[in-house]
Amino acid sequence: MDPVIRAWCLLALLLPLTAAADPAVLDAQRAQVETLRQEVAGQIQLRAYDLLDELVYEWTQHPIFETDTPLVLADVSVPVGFGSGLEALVENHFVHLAIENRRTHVVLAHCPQCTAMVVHSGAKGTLVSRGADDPEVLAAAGALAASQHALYLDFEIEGSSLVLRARITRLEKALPIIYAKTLSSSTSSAALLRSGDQLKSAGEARAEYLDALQGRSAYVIPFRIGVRSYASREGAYVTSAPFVWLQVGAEAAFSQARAWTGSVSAGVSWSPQTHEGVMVQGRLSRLLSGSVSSLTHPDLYGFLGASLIYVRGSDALAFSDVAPSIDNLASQLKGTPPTATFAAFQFGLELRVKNRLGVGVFLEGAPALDDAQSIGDHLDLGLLKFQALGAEVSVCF
Amino acid sequence: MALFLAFLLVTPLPALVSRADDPAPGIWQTRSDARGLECRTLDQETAHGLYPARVPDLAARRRSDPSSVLVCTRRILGDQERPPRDEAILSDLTRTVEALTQAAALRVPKGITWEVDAFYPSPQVGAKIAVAARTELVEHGHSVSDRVPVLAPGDLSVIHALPAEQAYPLACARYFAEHALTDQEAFLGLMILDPRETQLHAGICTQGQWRWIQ
Amino acid sequence: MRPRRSRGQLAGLLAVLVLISGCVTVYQPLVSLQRPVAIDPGLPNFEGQRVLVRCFPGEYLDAQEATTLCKHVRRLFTNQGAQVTAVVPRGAVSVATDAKPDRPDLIIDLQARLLQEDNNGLLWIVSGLSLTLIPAITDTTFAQDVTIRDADGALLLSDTLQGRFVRYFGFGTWAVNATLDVLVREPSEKLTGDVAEHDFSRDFYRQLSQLAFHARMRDRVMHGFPSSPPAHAQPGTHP
Repeated sequence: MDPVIRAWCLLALLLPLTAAADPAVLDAQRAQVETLRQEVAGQIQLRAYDLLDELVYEWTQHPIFETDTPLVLADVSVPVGFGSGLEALVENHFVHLAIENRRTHVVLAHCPQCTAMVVHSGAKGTLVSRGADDPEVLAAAGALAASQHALYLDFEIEGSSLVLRARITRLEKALPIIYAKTLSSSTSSAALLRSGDQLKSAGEARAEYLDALQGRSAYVIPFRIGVRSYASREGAYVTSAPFVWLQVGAEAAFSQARAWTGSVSAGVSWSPQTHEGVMVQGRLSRLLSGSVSSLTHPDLYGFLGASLIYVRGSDALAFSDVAPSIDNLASQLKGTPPTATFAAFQFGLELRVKNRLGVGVFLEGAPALDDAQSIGDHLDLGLLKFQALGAEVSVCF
Repeated sequence: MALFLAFLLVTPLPALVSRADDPAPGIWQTRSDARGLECRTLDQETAHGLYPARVPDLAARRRSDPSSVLVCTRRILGDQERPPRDEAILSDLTRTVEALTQAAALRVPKGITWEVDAFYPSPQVGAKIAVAARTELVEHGHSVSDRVPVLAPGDLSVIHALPAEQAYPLACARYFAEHALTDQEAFLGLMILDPRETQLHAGICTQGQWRWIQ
Repeated sequence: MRPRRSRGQLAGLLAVLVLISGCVTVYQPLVSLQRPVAIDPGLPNFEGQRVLVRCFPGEYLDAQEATTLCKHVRRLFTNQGAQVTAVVPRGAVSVATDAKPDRPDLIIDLQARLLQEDNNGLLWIVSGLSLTLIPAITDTTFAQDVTIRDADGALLLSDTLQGRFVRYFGFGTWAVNATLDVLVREPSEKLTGDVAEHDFSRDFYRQLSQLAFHARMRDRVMHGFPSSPPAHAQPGTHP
């Protein structure tokens, strides 16, 4: 076995053993768990905001009260296992929604006695409860002047959904629940399409989402400008200058997700007095940066392609598998320029932004150039050789 | 030789990359990640309606031969983040409470006012169960009070010493004896009877009589 | 021109690749198999209970496999203190059992169904041509229906457990995963070996125990708590 490989294998085997014994790694793992928990809390916060938006939107469409009515936010319960930080964020967001949407006829009232613990002693014993749970005590304390209604918001994680249960209770002895609603994040729409002061229904948000998707046509026309640089062989008489290609073609996505795309294109290359070239190319791309192309982030595609290239002019001599001779030069002087035709395959990466702009790099190999006197290899993997290194910029319409 | 070994390891990668979307454990997903998914199989048309960006529309010519789509969503909380029993009950809370409240409502005449409470080792989880049941009943048009009937400390100390099959009927009788519940009110109790359970039981207390629903 | 000795080594290595081509099977719980459980199958949760287990053969499990399943399930509940009778029915069976002194307290019916199987013949050809460097993939989704009744045939509980096995056949996938198992993955995340079978068995038996316990508790509630609870059980909460 190659000694270099042996050393790497040994090092790789040793790494897990040494990592297990390191307390610094344990601390890093704990920090990572805490970071993950904060990420989860962040995701829950956004979903909770969505659900509150949907609740308040429904109140704007079907108000619970006919006139402006004081309402005490009696309790916000977060999912089991989460703390008061999330409660405060949810409460703030709800207050913002209530202020921005007067059509709900909900006027938030301040009632500290409603949320405080009260102790009431009577003939039957001493009862400790929150103020809102014992309206008689609140009435005796004169605290019910602020509001006759209390709102309770309860959030809970049920599998992959966040569920909001909202209820409004009238603060009288019987504590009747006059309104209750259950909303689940599995049926709500993404926060992306809502803002607190311009609420929209789930149906409207979904329609906008579909419009955004369908605005991404399955077919685009890419224009590409690319440069191919061929490696030089040692001792070559003729070296090849970089080829600049201009390509135009058609690209199709196989689904709305744009996870797979295919394109065909034709290209030309021209350099005065040195070469003219034409190329046809087919390419298959696969999205690497996810399973769906993003509406907000650049997408990274990997692609495989095949080309047929025809070059005419003195630059074509570089692709010949015989050394240049006097005969070649004589032919050229007589007006019969040298030509070269060969097939090539490409393997590369392209970063695409909103399916409009793209930047790519690739390696190209042409088996026919293995014996070319002037062309060397940028990368030789034994079975596969890549003679050209390329970069391109594309604009899609 | 090194290149050959590298070639052996690299050649299967395209086949494996094509399975990058597969939620099953593999190169792209660990076993614990795969267990954090809730999966169901939908027909392609339904799946396209729910996830238009990720599931292609069924082409017209293939409507007679639809494919099925495995739709997986990630659970918000991972394994072991909450105690297993709490997680099992909370994960299925909506469905469970819906079934229990529907069964309860069928056994009681209309116009009755409901009071609901849950009896569970964790008070936090118990509160969630009770809130879910109250909300479900109100949404189905029933009259529900946010009150919970309470008993005197002496009654509670006796009841706590009894097994469940005796405790709940006795508590129900005491509710009415102490006028914590009236004839126009019904009490729905949700509870577990054994710590090895992850299912809820329910019973109704009406006019001093306790009946088990499930 | 390569020396003959090197060519011979290469041919030998390729032959070894074909001969040692192996499978990597991965298991994914889909519905209910990954549900949290509160019961410990190592404890006597069914002490004094008589349980009848019926494993119905079908398109997914033949009679031999159903017999093996029944054997394992019988051991599962025997270890938890139950007196178990396991039967592989052939033909129609009645829902209830006859009124004999040893009537079972619970009747557990198990039936497996094949929901979906993807096995592309073209991929097998490509796999063969690439000497199994490109894997052949078999993707199977199954459902296990669990129905539990009391001795009178009244339905106590019914549930469906769904899971998926993906089998990669070929040296390439086995080599990649074996390398990752040795160099990268934690022991709890390894994929090669019989990990898939272990995971599925653990999930299935735990879920089955939990469902049976639920059925037992429902039976007690609906029949008005006919017998005293087991000695080791702790009471739940009370009002």
